[in-house]
Amino acid sequence: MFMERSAAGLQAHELVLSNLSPSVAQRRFALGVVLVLLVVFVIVAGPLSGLPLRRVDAFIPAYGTAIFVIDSITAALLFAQFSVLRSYALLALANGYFLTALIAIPWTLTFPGVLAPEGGLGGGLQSTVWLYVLSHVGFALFAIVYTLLKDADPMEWLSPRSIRARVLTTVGSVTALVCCATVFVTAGHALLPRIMLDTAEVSYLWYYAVGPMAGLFVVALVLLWLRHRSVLDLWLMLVLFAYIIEIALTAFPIPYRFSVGWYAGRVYGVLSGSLVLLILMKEVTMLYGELLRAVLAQRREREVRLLTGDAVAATVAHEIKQPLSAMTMEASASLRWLDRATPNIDEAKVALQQIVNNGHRVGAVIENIRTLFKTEARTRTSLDVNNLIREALALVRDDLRRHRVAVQTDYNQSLPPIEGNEVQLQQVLVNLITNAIDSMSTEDGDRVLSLRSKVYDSGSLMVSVEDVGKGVEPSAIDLIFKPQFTTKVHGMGMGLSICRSIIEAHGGRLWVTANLPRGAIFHFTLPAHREH
Amino acid sequence: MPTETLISIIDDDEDFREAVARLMKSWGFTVEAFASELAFLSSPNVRNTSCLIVDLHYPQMTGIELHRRLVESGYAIPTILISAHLDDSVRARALADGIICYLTKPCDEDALLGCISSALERAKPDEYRS
Repeated sequence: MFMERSAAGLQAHELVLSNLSPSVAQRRFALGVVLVLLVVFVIVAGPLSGLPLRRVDAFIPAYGTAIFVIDSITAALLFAQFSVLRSYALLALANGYFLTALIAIPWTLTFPGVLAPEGGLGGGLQSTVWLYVLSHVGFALFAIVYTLLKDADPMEWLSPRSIRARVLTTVGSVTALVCCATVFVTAGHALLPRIMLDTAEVSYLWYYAVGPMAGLFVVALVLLWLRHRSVLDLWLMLVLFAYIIEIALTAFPIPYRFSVGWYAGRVYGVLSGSLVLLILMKEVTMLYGELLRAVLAQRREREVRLLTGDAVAATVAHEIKQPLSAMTMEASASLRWLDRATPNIDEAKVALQQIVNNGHRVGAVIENIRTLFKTEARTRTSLDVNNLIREALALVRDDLRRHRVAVQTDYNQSLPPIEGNEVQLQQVLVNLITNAIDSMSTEDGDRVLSLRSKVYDSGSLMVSVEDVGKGVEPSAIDLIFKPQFTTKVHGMGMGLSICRSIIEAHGGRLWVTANLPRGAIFHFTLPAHREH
Repeated sequence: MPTETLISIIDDDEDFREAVARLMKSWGFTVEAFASELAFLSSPNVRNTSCLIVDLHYPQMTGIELHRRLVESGYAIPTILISAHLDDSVRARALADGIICYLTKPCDEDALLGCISSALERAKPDEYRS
């Protein structure tokens, strides 16, 4: 199961925030936030609008700093996403946040009362408000550019250097724009339309600015609504919505600085900045967790594979060495018989026949290992474990009869299906059954093989192969699963270490316990197949 | 070639032990093969075997264990170990324990014959003693 997921499933685009599609829960949460924003707006614009509030001098620098920090971090994260994804849409959005972060500096410094009573940096009453307009119009335009570009797939290959160049060029342009704008609105403040009547009073002209600004955001929001797909789109829509309310609050119900609506507007401003940041941070952390899990799963899978390789190599070496040794000795023996003064043809023939038999045995070993590990052996299907047991029993029917072994079966009929490779699991069962038969064939008394299937826990099932043979010595319980462990080889057999590797590669466990008063029970678990 | 010398073989692999037995027989030895240590220990061969050839059974190494137990019980049968794995430390340990030879599968005919000769050399004083 995890094999397929980690091998084929680890595609970069699935793990990038701007490509993840939002879940139902995320959509509901976003809708909830929209409702809260609306309710707060109605309360602020309605019942609370008359609430007299004082001007708090510390508020402006604190607010400006917050916006600067939040938007810079958001921009940095988005630039990082751009460098991974090479999407120009993300580059535009990152620059949008960079613009608002940067403008927060002159906005704060030119705000009347912060550095100078009528505005710092040599500006006047009109400087701050026009910076505000620039920041909002700029962000809305960048959001529109993001929306228009996001479905285009540029994705052309870019070298790290050209990515850096693009980031630096755009950042430089935005910085230059903000610098020019700041110089223009401060040095040329007298030329600007007079929106501010004094440090707090706003003129009717403001409505002419608010209308198009809000309209721009509405356009951005509608465009994004029509094209939204990803988690990032969802939260960006929320941000645009918060911006619209923020802009509305500067003019409605009363266009006056330091009113309830104005303070609430600032809060919406911080919110719209931090929403995307919070979501980015949360999603990045979660994705990191996912990635970590996938990497760990992949590493485990590789270890299991290595183990399998080890076990296969050891088993092949051992299983081939046995018949090979026998063959060389039989050959030497037959030579001896033939070399005698009176050659003993009969003895030589027996030895030669044994060479033939052992040659077939080597062939069978190789054929077995090949069947077990050829490429098709990796394909997995949904399997019924009870069927697997029945088929395995059918395969060893002759062996059972020859050794006069009685079979008892106890199937749980309501087992969940499992996902696995039929050939490999079949081999595990055949191997365990053959071992059980062998261990009983040297013992006196009844020979009973019991096979059981049952539900192990909520997510897995267990199969037990029980014999009344010579059992496993307590000291050997761990040793028998080692690749080097000497096993008896009979055509189908292939060693407990490979059995264990196969079961572990299927996400299960294989172990042995004593069967009292005599014999051994081999158990293995397999995870139930979950529908994706 | 000695003819009245009894050699015992213990190996759980039927093909292998039969091959060793047949080879010994072609050399003129009297051979008996056993599938397990238990079968060997419960046979009269324990008393009159001149040379024992036993599978090491890596990694449990029951071959060395068996030799030690036999020595402790007063049956210092010259023993040859045959293993599917070459492990120098195990080999050193086995030789220190008084094992005559440590051979790896597939083993060379001459080497095996040489080991058997040394084993039988070793066995002779015992025969005089008994």
